[in-house]
Amino acid sequence: MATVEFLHIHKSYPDGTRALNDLNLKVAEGEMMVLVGPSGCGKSTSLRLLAGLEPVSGGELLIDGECVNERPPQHRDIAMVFQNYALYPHMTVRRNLAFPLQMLKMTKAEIAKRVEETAQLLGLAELLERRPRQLSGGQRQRVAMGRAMVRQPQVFLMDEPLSNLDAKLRTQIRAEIADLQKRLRITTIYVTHDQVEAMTLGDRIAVLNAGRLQQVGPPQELYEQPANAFVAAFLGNPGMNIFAARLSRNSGMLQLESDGWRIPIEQLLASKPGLEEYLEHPILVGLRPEAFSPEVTPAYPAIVVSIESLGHERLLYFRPAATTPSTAQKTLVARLSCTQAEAVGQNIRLGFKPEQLYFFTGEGEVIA
Amino acid sequence: MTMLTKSTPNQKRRGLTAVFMSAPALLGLLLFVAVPFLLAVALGFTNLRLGSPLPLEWLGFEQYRRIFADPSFSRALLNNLLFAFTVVPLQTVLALLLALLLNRSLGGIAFFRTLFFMPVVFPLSLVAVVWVLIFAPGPNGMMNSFLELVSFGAWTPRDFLHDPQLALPAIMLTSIWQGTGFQMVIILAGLQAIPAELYEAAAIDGARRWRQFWHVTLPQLRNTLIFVVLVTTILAFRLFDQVQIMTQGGPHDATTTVMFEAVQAAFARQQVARGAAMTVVLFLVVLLISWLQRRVARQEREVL
Repeated sequence: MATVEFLHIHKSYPDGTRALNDLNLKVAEGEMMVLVGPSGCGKSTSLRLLAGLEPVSGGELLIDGECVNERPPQHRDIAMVFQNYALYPHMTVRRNLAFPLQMLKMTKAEIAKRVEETAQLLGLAELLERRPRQLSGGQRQRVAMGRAMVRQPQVFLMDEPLSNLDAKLRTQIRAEIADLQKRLRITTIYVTHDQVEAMTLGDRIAVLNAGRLQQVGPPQELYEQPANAFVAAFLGNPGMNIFAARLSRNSGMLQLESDGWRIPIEQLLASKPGLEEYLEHPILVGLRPEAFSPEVTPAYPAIVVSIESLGHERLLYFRPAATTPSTAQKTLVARLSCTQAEAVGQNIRLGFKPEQLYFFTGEGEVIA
Repeated sequence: MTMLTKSTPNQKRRGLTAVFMSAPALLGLLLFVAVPFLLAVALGFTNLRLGSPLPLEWLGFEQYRRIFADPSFSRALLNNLLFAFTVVPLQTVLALLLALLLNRSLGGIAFFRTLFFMPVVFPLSLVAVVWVLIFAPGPNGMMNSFLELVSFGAWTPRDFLHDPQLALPAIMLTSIWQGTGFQMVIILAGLQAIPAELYEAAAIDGARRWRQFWHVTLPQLRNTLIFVVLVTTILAFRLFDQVQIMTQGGPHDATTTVMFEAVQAAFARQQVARGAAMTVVLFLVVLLISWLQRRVARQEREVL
């Protein structure tokens, strides 16, 4: 077990692409840290840098307080689970599991004991003599986990380990990984593009975008207090609705003007005094899809664009009803229960509590 | 049922189209491979000799008894075996080393790849002529003066191609020089098909360069190597051009080969039947080797 630290890490490639820009991140001992972001955000790159598969362009990588920049992967005492597992196709499961131990020149008896233990732990005992291509996707995934665990490394790295599995298996193995990590308490860095995985697995989540760290924190904190519009829109399923608006005064009372909707928010000033500074400025406003409800007042007029029914709930895509409708108007989404049945094109009214509004500057930074 | 009756004429027409389309290729195969082969087998049992006034006789297996009783032919078979057992391993290992060297992304690597592949593009006859010049006798011969240089004068000039001990090794060297590039390109393709993650996984699992080669590269290259060895072995048994141009089988049959003997019999001595029988022997040897290698390969085929 060890701590991991990224100190001012930069990574750029010879063709000029900047994969990582001043990444600072500390992972505590035994912590499960999830790196999440859209593809190309630099999350896999950070993992490969830490593993030693690629050199850093600047900054320091610390494992347990020691700089490992110059150490080859063999000497970093880390294990990695690859997206496509990278099992050795010509070896049986047993030999795949034994391989890292053989490289450590352990005795045969010790290797056999460790392989047996790991196989038991992961339910691979019956599969030990099979070759990877004789296994199902879920079994391969488990072997890959086993190969990483068998050595009892200081740090676990997982690069989208579930993305090659079908949805049902993904949920199941996700729970297994969470359980294993809790039991073994090995410092783990887990990379995914799936915010559901991030929310369910991480002790903390680090959201990356375009090579920059956006925010780090426990899942609930990120969900409730996003630092910027990107994090707000990225987390949640679907993510937060973000739309342009402007603050103005109407007979002295603060109100929010967006396409068609005028939302009185005078009562929010007490908790968000910073809002006043942005009077008459274009700002961004966020609303979670689950904030909407047809029963809450005040309610605002909207036109249904499309409906997705998920059985226990519906996702209602709508546009705020405007006096001068334009195509530039953004489609918003509301998550509603299945009690009512609207039709596409219908005029409806949706309400929300003003306290559920999030405010961001025009550049996307949160307004406190 | 209606489906079946409906589709039958359709299928018939499709079958006809298939035959029509493949006819030119089939005709070619028949004319240039199947018929000559069957003719060779049949002729091998006779005493056919071009321009001979004697009537054609059926010899049967007597022909083969005579061939194997001929010391030149036995020597030829032995030479082929020696050649194969020396050239195939040496050439394969050399090609593997070259491929490993050239399988990296350096500036100008394409130039080196081209350079090492170039001998393959040269006609064998041209290569042989050039090597005859390299092996020229006397102290001024290129190989002789080179050996003298590297041995600090200890080397006494030899006439390689007329030396019973050195003639076959000289031909082997020429063949390795000419053939390595071909194997190298195939192995290079095999190397590039190995997923990079396997090396990354091995590195993280603690394997250094040499272990990675042993535990990832070699097993992943297995099928490529089997193919390369098979093809090179077959080519080794077909050895002819270099012998014809460089030594004419001499001195004293030191470099003769089955193919060379067959051509000599058929075209120098007009013993067409005898030549044909020799090629049948060659065919059986190659068939046996291919079968053996396939058997060895099959045990691990599931690896793929």
